Amino acid sequence: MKKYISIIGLMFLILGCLSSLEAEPVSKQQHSTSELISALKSGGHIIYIRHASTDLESKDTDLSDCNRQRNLSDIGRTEAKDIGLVIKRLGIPIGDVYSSPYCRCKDTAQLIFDRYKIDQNLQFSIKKDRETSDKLGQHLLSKMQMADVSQHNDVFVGHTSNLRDGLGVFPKPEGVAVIFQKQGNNLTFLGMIKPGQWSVALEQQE
Amino acid sequence: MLNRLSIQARFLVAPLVGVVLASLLYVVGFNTIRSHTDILKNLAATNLPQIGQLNQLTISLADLHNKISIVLLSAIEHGDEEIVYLQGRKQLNQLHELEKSFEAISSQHAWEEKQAKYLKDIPVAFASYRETVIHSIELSTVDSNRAIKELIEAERVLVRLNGELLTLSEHFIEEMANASSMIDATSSKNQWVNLFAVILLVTMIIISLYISRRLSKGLSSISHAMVKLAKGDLDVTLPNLSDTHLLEQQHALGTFRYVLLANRKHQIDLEHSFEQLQDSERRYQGILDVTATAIVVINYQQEIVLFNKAAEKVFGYQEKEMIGLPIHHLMPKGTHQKHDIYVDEFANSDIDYIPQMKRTPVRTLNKNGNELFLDISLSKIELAQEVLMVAAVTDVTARIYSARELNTYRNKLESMVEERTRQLKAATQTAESASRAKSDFLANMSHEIRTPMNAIIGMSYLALQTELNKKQHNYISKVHLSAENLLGIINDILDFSKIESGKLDIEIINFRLDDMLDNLISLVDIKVEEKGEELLLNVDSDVPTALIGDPLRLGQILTNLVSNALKFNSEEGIVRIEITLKESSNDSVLLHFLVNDTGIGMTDEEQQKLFQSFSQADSSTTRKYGGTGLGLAISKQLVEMMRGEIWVESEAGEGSTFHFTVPLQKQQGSGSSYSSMIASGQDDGSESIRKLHGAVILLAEDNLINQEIFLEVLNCNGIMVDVANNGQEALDLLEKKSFDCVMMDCQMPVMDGYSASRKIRQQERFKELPIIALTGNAMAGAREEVLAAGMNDHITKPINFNAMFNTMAKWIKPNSSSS
Repeated sequence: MKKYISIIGLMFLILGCLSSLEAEPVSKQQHSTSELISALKSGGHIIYIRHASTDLESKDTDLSDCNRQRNLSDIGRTEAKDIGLVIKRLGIPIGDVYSSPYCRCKDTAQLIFDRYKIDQNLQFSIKKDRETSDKLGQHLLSKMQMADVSQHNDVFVGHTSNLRDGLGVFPKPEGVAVIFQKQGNNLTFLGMIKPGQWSVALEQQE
Repeated sequence: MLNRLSIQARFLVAPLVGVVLASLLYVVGFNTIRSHTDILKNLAATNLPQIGQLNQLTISLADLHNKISIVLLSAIEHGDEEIVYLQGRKQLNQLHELEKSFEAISSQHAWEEKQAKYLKDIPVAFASYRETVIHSIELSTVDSNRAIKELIEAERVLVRLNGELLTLSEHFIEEMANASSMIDATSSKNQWVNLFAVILLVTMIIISLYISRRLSKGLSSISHAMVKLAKGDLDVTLPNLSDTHLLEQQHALGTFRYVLLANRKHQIDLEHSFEQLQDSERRYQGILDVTATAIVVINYQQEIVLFNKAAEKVFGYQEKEMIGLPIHHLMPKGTHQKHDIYVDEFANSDIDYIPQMKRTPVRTLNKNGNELFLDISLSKIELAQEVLMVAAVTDVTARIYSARELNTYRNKLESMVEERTRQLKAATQTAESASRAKSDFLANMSHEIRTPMNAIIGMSYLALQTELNKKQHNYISKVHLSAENLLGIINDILDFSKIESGKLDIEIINFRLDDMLDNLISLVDIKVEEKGEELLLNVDSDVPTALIGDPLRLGQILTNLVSNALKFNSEEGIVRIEITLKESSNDSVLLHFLVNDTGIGMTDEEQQKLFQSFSQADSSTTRKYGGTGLGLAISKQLVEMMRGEIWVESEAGEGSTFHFTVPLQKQQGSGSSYSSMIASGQDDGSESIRKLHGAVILLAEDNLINQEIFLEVLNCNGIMVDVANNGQEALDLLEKKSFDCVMMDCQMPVMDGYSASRKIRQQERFKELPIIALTGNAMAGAREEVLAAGMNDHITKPINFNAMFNTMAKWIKPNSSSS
């Protein structure tokens, strides 16, 4: 039985690789965390942050009631606060902060940046049918393309599926920041900064 | 009883009863069958497919759950969140499809109230299953134990969902069972109705057989007799019958026999008449055949009944081909309907004849299919049985074609002319707009040119007041004179360009003719004196002085004419101005102005070029007398803008007389007339200066040169002046000190003259304070703007100092406010 499952798993791996070969809306370059951070300091980037670590016991049953959603765990809250401190210390210029209406995203945005604007179209697209989730992905891409980041960096706080659907990048794990460079309408995926890497980078810089 | 009914009724009774019964049977049977089929149809349309769809949904759900389980289990194995997402996404999409298919099933069915709970429960179960699966997918790479727990939970929810679907399916099956038992019940109820109807039907068939047999016996004997009569055998014995209605038939048969006997005689007569008729027809046919006019006759059905030899020539058909054919055969396809309507109207009208000239040529086809245009005269022959329409036809095809060709040529020519006109118009517009742009530029130059001119004239004036030796005095006075001449030229050019660009407006304001004439004299006075000439002004006593019009422009025309007269006059000559009343009504007058000199005069040729722009009577005079040649052109334009006329009478060496007429309105309630007077250089401003002595004036002016000029001139003449550099400073000074008058430049930095004047007028104590504007801008409308801002009067720059003193004296009463 176990052998059977592992063969299926292998098949999915191959399928996954094939599907990631499709043309993505953004080009990709891999940069180290310190390169990413120094790039952010001069503005011109978009940061997509997946909400920080959550309490996996709870489930989302009501989008209008925080008590009936999967919320940030204590670890998640600490992660978000730490990221916020590092961004402030590094003096990374931040422009608009947009958040999904889910409480775990709003809390993440509040703890890191102390401000945010809710964008209903950032809501978790995995819960929607194919047509709607495609639309939400497309919305994210075009909003990023229209953002004016000549002086600073704009931030989107959201979930996994929207970014995967819209830009072909899967943000993992929770709390990860995905960095895109913006030149005109072109977005280039530069890399990701995991929650723990921010403070390491700060220590290196100091 | 049956004997009393008519034969028709007797024949009708049997089938009628049959029909009633059959209908009864049909209605009863049809209703039963229909209600059964309805029930079955509804069940088949909704329940059966729905049961199938629900079963399919259950199977699909089970299959989907299987796939989800495999995805999750393999995710636990390799632990890549992205791959789980991608695979899970596919299954979730599938789940959404299944949810939608349930919505489709539920919307097909008409739900009763107690069934509505399915509508609520099943979507809730679906959503709960989906959420559990999503949660399980999210957990799969983080915490495999919990993911499996969620998967088991999902399975539990799925079992519940399947249970709900099964209940719904059972509900549909129950509905079908109920329906079929209903069909059984209604069928047995209808059985006795059917039986009764069948019995009635059989009885009725027997009765109707009996009736038919009785009737047919009598009828067959009558018909035997009829057959005999028809064969010509009039010797018939009639059967004996007891039936009353059959007896009537028998009588009719007797009458019929008698009539047949009479007819045989008539037939012989008829044959004779027919022969005569045939002769007559042959005669007319002969006439028709030799007639040159083509004739076509049709009947009411529009079939051709006559087609003569001439018609054969026109259309190319033979008569035998055409007889009986519809007239449409000769008409092009699109015209049939119109032709039908036309013929129908004619046939039913009271008109018997339509001559050809009433109609446009008719388009037809000949045998070769070529178009023919025909003039047709129509007449109508009403016979006893039918109406015939006779068409006398003339072929005018050749004429139509040549007319058409002519028309095409004309259209082509017209469009060529139109195109050329359009091009010319466009070219004219381009030229006009270029010329207008140039004029606009000139009009706007006004201010720029006048400001430095003011400095030149003012400074040279001041220089002339100082101690100069003879040579210096000569130079400076020439500078002064040239500057004033230049200003005149510039004014002419600017005026002309304003007229050209349509920016010059004629005012309609109250004015006094004598004021206007005073102004005129003060302007030309110096020149009169310089040349030792004499100026005579004669105004008729019946000329009203209180008028409505544009005094500025009227004065300008007169100044032009008088300046010209002075310029071209002989030394010590006389210039005469006469004003007479030409026409007068209650509220308007037509004034006639005349300016006469004793100068060099002009030939006829010279007179003709006189009022054109940039032209002088003789180009050689340009050198001698100077000038732009615009003065008369401007005067002519101004007179015409006032709806008057201007002309000249002159002879070479005999002097010239310029005339112009201008219609003006009278001011109501003022009738004082002008009295004739002789004027010669007296008003040089000295009287005004005397009156102004001791006045205190506030001058608001930003230009330092102008400040200097004003200070010098005013101080020299005993007038005290405080200077403000802009409107704001003027306001500040007014707070501190009181003045007899404010001289206000209009264009200044910080606060311009218009705003400053408005602010001054806002204060109650300054309501009466005279404010005189200094405008560098002598454009029409400048005066209105100045008055609208609350100022009393205006002086245009460059300043004519005498005129300035006169204007000031008009408004200032020194010592009225002590400083």
